[in-house]
Amino acid sequence: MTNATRSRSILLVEDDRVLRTLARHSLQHAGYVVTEVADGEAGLAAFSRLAPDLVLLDVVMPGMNGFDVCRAIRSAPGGVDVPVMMMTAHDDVDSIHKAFAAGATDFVSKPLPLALLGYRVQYLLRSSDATRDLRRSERRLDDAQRAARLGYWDWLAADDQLSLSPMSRTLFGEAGEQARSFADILRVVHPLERAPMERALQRVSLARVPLSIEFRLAGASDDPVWIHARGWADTDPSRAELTVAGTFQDISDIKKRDAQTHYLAYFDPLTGLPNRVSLTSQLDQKLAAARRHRRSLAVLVLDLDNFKQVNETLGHAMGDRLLSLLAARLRQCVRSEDEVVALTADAVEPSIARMGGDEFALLVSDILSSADAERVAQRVLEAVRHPVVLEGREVVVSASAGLAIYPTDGEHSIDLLSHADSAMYAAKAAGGDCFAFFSAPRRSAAESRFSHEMALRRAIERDQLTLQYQPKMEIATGRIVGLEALARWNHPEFGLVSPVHFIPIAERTGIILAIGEWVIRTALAQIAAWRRNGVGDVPVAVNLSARQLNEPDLPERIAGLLAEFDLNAGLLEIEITESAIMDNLELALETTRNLRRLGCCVAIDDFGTGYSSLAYLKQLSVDHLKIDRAFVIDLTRNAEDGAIVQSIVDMANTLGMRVIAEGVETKEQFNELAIRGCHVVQGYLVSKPISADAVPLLLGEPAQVARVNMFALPSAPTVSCDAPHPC
Amino acid sequence: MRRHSIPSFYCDIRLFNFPFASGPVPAHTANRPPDIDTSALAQVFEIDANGALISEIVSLYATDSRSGVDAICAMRGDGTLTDVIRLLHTLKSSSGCVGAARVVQMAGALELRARTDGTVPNAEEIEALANLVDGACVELLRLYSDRATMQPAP
Repeated sequence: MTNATRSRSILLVEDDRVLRTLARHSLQHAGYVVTEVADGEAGLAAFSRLAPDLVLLDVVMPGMNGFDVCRAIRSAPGGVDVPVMMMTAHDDVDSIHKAFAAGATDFVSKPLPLALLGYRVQYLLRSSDATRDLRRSERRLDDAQRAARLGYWDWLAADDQLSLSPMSRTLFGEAGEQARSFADILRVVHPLERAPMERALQRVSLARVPLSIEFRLAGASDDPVWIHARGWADTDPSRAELTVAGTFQDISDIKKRDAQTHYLAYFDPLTGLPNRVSLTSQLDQKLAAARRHRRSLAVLVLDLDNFKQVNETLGHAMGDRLLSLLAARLRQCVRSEDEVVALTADAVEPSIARMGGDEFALLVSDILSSADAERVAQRVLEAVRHPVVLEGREVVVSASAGLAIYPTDGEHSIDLLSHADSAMYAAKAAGGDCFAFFSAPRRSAAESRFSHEMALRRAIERDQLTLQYQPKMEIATGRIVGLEALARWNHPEFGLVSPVHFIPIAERTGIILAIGEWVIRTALAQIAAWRRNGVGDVPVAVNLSARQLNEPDLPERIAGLLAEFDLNAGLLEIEITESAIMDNLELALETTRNLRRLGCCVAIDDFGTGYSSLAYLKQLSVDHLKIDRAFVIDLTRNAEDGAIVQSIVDMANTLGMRVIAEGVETKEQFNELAIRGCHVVQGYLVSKPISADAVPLLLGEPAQVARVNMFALPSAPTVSCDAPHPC
Repeated sequence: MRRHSIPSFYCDIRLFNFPFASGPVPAHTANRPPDIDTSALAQVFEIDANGALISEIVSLYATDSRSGVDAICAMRGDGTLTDVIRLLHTLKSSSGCVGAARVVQMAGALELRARTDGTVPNAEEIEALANLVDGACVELLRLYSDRATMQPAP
């Protein structure tokens, strides 16, 4: 006996004390826990109380006989599966019949085989356990089939006799309850799928090809019931008739999910239009057709102008609403009669798609010339221009469109879409609300720009950027009073790239933030190096981009860098252009105030070229105004430039600022600036930008004052600052 | 004593199989000396080698079989056929357990007759049954006291 056996409990119901005692000892000897009672009523009570693993039950007892007790156990909670072994006289066949009729599991004859009784009980328990496990397994299988809505079937093909499990019947509803053949099932299959189903049944019955087919049931078309039938022919050659066994499964939910997945994969949920994947697929098909029939088609990419502003001012919900309305309008637009455009051939309207964001694309098939595509573009742009009413507010938007034509602009979908996109950007660059055809040279320029962008992104990490320093000279003293740090990109292929070329790229792509940070750090490191090398404290100005100015923590970061290099903030001058200030005036005011509070000098660069209001000047905490070189070039020839310069100088003096003139290249310009009261000059006349190594030499030149003196000022200007300045 | 009718088909089956299904149980059956089947007790030793169970069983049998015979006797005047049958059945059953083969034989015959035609044992039969029981008890006690003879061979 095993340990598992020893923990099992036996209820012994027997009125004969001798037999009961022997049976108890025998079972205890075998390791069972035995509870004994002397009559049927006590047996039932003990059964309810103890829930034994097995009942050993006498037949003839006072009160209830064993048959009645057995029946009562079977109807008691938990009594269905408990094995009941009845003890009968060895010659009492009638009692054995009655015992099984009452629900007994087994019987044992008296006198009991004492030495074997434990084994009999063990066998019965094992059998009972197996039966219980089987029932549990069947229940689980039944539950699983119910959850999976899966039923099974058997089919005698020759006679078309179909046997269905309860779940299979349920799947087919009322027809399933009455179905006796596959012919009955086929009657409720959707008419379109009956023939394929019949063919599948023939294949499995004649050729023993496994059956696997999905079909709809006839009925409601808006919410169809989908069934997946599988079947396998019985391969047992000993069977005279072919039997096919299989399953039916309700896959309606799977079909719905598949449809949803398909929709999400190929359509844009916001507008209901096909998405990029769908459009590309459709384009590939149309290109194949165009190739076969030697026809042309156009790809039109449409992007809303300034859609970002709509989102920012009206909110994203309104932005989405606008896109949805415009999508409907575009759909209507391409549906409208146009002899040129064959867009309505496909039921899914593949010819218009939302590519993402505020970008749409249209495929215009079978065009005869680019004029046909142009007509469609004009009509689409016109459709977008019509005002849209959003929550009572009239909103007017425009779009830019780009067109690429097959086969002239490309033969593959990826090329045509890319080229139409490129053309769309050209239309945007032209001011928007217009369209443009793809142009290869323009594309080449764009690719070049992109290539530069990529290279510029790597320039810092590859140590390709350097700083050059252009001196600024005080007119009154002829002393070098500071340097302006100018970034240079030493491209391994193109050589030294001018900031005029790469700074706009950096600003557009956002790389300017990293470059700006690098410039400040490098400049400060250089100031510190000069100090260490005994050159002295040399103030250096760095240019700040609009993007940097919009970084709220800029002053803190600069303070951190100054601390890192142990430098006085007065050695760092920040130059900001007028346009950068006007980009976000509030933030600029705050940032400049904080920078000055930190101790840095602040200068307005390119002053006079922006559309700035003079009113902000008094609010700005700046130290210097840098007159743009545009006013210096013709200063000696153009009286208006002279007047402007004079006005700037006068205004600066009034506001306590110093004036620095940029781009000073001739002695005449210098003299004119000196006469007009300018304080500092910068330009090739003083020095072109030089490397950091050359700066000590320049600062050590004793001739610099003499060089200024040689300009022989006609009348020495009085340089005055209302307040002493740290710079 | 009341007589109970038994379905005829039931009687037919029993009459065919058993010699004492009807009529008086032969006296010679009861008069023969007790015959204990020691193999029954040997089985008990298999599950209880130290003899404690034998002692308990013999004691129980002596008590219950005699009281059973007394109860059958009492039932003659006041009882039901069912109770008589049950008592005979129990006596047969417990006697079988201890190997009292003659008691088994006679109790079985009386039970069968009672089931078959509703005849309860008469005084003579009960006395004979009591003698058999007594003899079996004596023999069992003798065997128990000499239990070494009943020990199964090692």
